[in-house]
Amino acid sequence: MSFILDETWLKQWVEFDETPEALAERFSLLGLECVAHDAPVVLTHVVVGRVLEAKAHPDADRLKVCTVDVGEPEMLSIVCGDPTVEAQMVVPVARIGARLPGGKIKKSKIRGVRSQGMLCSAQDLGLEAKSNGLMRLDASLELGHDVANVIELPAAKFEFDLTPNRGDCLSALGIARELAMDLGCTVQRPAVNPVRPQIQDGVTIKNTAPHACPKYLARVIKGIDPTRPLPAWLIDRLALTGIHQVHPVVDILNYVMIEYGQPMHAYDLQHVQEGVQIREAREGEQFMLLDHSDFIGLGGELLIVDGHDAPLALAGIMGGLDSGIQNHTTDILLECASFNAEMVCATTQRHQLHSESSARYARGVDPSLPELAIERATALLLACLGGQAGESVAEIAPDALKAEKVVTVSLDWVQRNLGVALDPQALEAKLTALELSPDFSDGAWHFKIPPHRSDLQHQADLLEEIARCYGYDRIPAQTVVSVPPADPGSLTAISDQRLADAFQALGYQEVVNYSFVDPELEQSLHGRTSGLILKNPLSSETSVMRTSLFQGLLTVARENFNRRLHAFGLYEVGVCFEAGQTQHDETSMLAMLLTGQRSGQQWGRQTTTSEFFDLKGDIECLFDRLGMAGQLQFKTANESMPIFHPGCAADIFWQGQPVGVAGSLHPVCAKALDIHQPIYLLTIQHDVLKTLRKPTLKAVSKFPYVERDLTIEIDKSIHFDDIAHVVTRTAGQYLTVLRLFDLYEDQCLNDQARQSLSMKLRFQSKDRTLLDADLNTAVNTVAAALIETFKVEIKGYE
Amino acid sequence: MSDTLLQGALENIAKAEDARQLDVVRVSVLGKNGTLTRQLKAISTHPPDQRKSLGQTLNAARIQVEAALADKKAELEAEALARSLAHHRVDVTLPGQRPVRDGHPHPVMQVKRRVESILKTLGFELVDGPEIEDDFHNFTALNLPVWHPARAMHDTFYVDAPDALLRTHTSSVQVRSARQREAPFRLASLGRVYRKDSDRTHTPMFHQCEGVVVHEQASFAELKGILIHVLEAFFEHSLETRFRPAYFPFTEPSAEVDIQCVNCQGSGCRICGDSGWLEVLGCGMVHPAVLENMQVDAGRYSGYAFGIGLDRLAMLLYQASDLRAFFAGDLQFLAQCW
Repeated sequence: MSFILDETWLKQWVEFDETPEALAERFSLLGLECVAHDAPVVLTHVVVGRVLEAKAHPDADRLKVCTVDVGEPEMLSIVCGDPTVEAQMVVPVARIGARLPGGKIKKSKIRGVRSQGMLCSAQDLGLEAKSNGLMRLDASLELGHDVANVIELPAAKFEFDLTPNRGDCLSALGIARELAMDLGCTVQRPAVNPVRPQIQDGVTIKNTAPHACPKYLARVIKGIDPTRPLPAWLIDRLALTGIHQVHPVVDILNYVMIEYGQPMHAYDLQHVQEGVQIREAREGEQFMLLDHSDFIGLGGELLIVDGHDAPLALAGIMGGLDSGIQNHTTDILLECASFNAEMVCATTQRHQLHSESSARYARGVDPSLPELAIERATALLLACLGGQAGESVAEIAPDALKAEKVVTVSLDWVQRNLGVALDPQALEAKLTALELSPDFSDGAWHFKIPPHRSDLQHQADLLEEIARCYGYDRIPAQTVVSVPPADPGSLTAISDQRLADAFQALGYQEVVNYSFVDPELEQSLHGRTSGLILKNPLSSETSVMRTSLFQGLLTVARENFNRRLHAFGLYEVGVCFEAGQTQHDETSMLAMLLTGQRSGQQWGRQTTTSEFFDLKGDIECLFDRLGMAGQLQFKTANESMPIFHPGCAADIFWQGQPVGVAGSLHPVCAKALDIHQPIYLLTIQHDVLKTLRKPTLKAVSKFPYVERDLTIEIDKSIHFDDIAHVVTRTAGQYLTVLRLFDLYEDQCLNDQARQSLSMKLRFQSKDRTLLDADLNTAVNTVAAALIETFKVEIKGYE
Repeated sequence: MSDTLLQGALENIAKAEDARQLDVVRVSVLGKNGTLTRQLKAISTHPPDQRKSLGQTLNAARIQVEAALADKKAELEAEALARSLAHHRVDVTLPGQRPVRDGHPHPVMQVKRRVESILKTLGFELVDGPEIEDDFHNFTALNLPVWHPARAMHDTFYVDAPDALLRTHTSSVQVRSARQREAPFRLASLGRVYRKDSDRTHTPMFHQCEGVVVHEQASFAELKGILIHVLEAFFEHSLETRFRPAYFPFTEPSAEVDIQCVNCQGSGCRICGDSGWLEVLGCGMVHPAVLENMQVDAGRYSGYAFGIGLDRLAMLLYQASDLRAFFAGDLQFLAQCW
């Protein structure tokens, strides 16, 4: 959470000379991430001067020639165009060399009269957006003094990004405490004296939820004058913290909240009938909050209501609109309470309501603060706006306030965990500055946890405080670390790197897509979705968990088509999801997409366009490279898939198990995606590619191989796999390779339902050169088997 | 063979301009019906006393012609080779022929694989966990109870199913994997995580590397040593590092680690926001409550854990300025990585 504080606030409580940047670095190294913003105005060569005389300019009606005393024997002559200039006024004088927001002051002549500087307005100095006339300084100031030292200039400010455990640092006090610890000094806190009641008005408090509100203080203040302006210093400081001015009463309460970290609220007394009650909200209970939103109770939230049960506020988070103070309000009820952090946090999250107040309560507000803060606020209210205060009434549930906690931490344990030897004495000053009351005895610290550090509960929390006091950077980095024998990686494991290298060699670009996709597109691609819908998606197009990797790949393809890239291969490895009966499934999948020209248009080569069998060849090649040659089997898809063309869709099997699908993108899907070129897709389970067979290197035959070509004409309906099966089964022991090298289904064939296949059969023996007779026997046997099984026509063999 | 015939043959051989013409000459002299062949055949028609000397003369002529033919053949071949070498020239500056399209690894995946291999050398066992997690493993077991304000920092995506959310960090794997093991152990889990956030440096899905080490002597000093080693191994040079106190509910003490800006070496630039430092990871000693949830004896063992933003490392390593581009799939952008 962001918190902004100006430098003057810290200067008042802690002595330091560091520059804002150096201080910001210190804060960051304490764990309070901080950026310093320099003072917006830097004034040099601007001094206090008195106008002794202002005469008319000889050549210009609107200009005056002034004689100015800047505390030196020599008077300055300055030409001034401001109509408010008059003799005896004391003003800031920018001397030659001064740098102002409007530019540098130089020696000049204005309409022939020499001018040795400039008389300044607050606007000229960058202190105001628009000034009416020159800036009048206190007439008693010594002439010649630097203006920077005699007027209040905007200070540097620190912007913190605080972690949720440090609620105590959402205040000037908290930050000052940390700074004092780091600098080795103490916080100079101004005394806060109780305000004596001037009127008799009290208030009755009835608390029926002490667990959620262990302490509730309230006080009546009457007769304030909300039209009185607040002092400039208060407004300036508040403005620098980024908190908007709302109403003088609210501004003062906000000021005290920034100062001490205690949120407070003020009600218009007229609307608080017969005291206040603290109770849990009922389901359906309704009232309007200050931000004009309707609060509708879900049950269990904490409400402040009046004696007639009318809701006044959502405790610790936001006041009600009706009970809030108005511009004309003169009588108020001031509330200053401790609310349970968990309760406030739960309510803000359930209702998505956030305020400066709730942010502090949710992170824990020092329960000892209300007594002090209510007096500080009352004193400021009376001083600034007048009025008379009644007695501060307190309703305290002693059981609900946590007892003072003592945590014991042994030095041994601390040293073992930090890996460094410590001297407890050297740490005492800093631990004391953190108000941890460190008592070191018998080899252990006994810390009394102060009420503002509700984040310190366990030994480990104090371990961090000790480490912070010692300095994280002083803990040495252990360079020799004992490490168990590293796993060198199995020879048969396919590492992610090896898989990536294989894909790179095949020309596939690795992509990473979001795991959540468009449910409508998913429906049209798969006829269903994973059923795992996000309750709070970024957009409806990213609202369902993907059931396959295809939507991501297709979207990438389309985007690249739009950028005029038309030929590429893509792959992604990632988890896909499926809702189950009781539990959802996650499967790591691998998917490929291939489209466009196979090798791009190149000189001296014919371009070929990728088709389904290029993709199939690529995955086969990938399996070959990963030592799993011949382990994949494609079969005509068992059932139709919306994403694939019905005539080009396959189920993929590995070791007899279905592990994936492949096909050509269905024209209907292509149209839905506004894609106008063929796309081929494939997906398989990633775990198929996790282990390979250990290679064995067998001796190769010394005898040359011989080949025979066999061309057959056959029904198109017969699958090549079945033909190949018959060939390999019948060709005898010497067949080593069967390769299809031609396929034509030309018009010249007599029958449109038939096609012609040419296969090359390679034979080799380990112990002799094969003879023609061996080959003739083998090929004749194959031919006979093919004729018998498939009614093929043998077109020839050679 | 008469001298004139021999001279004629030798002249014809010398005049031959190519292998074909040379062959014509060879056939005309030494072929079946060649002049010399016919004379050799006709020796027997001569008187016996002349046959010997005639034979010697003709054979000498034959040897001379054959030698001339061989010489001429070699000469012609050399000429032909020289002509062919002179003629056959390619422009070696023409572009090379590519077998297939280009393919490239994804920058974040490349970083993930690199970090994995570095951690493996340090004895880490790589483990996985589900991306759709339950509240217990993502939050509660990590000391983030239901209404903890730190939960608000996570911008969690919730799945419309009982007790299901998209894991907001890979820390969720810690408890799950640790429970299946006996201490001591050192585990790392790298993968996708999800938070509802999108700008130049945030995407709703990103990648983290979680590491957790539990043994009897695990200390903050060792944590510093390991992390500095990992970072220096990753960037391949020594680095200034800065450990700042931070807050994570699952570690105590906690730290955020800054490295000296790899772009400006600490002098301040746009990438490090002029601070000279880059925040790269969060870490700390495993909180006792988390050790307990891991079913580790906190009296005997201590542990440390760290979480590295892999996408952040990829941005730094490859000097990329917009994280979203990693996942937008523009091949012109992605193909710059190898």
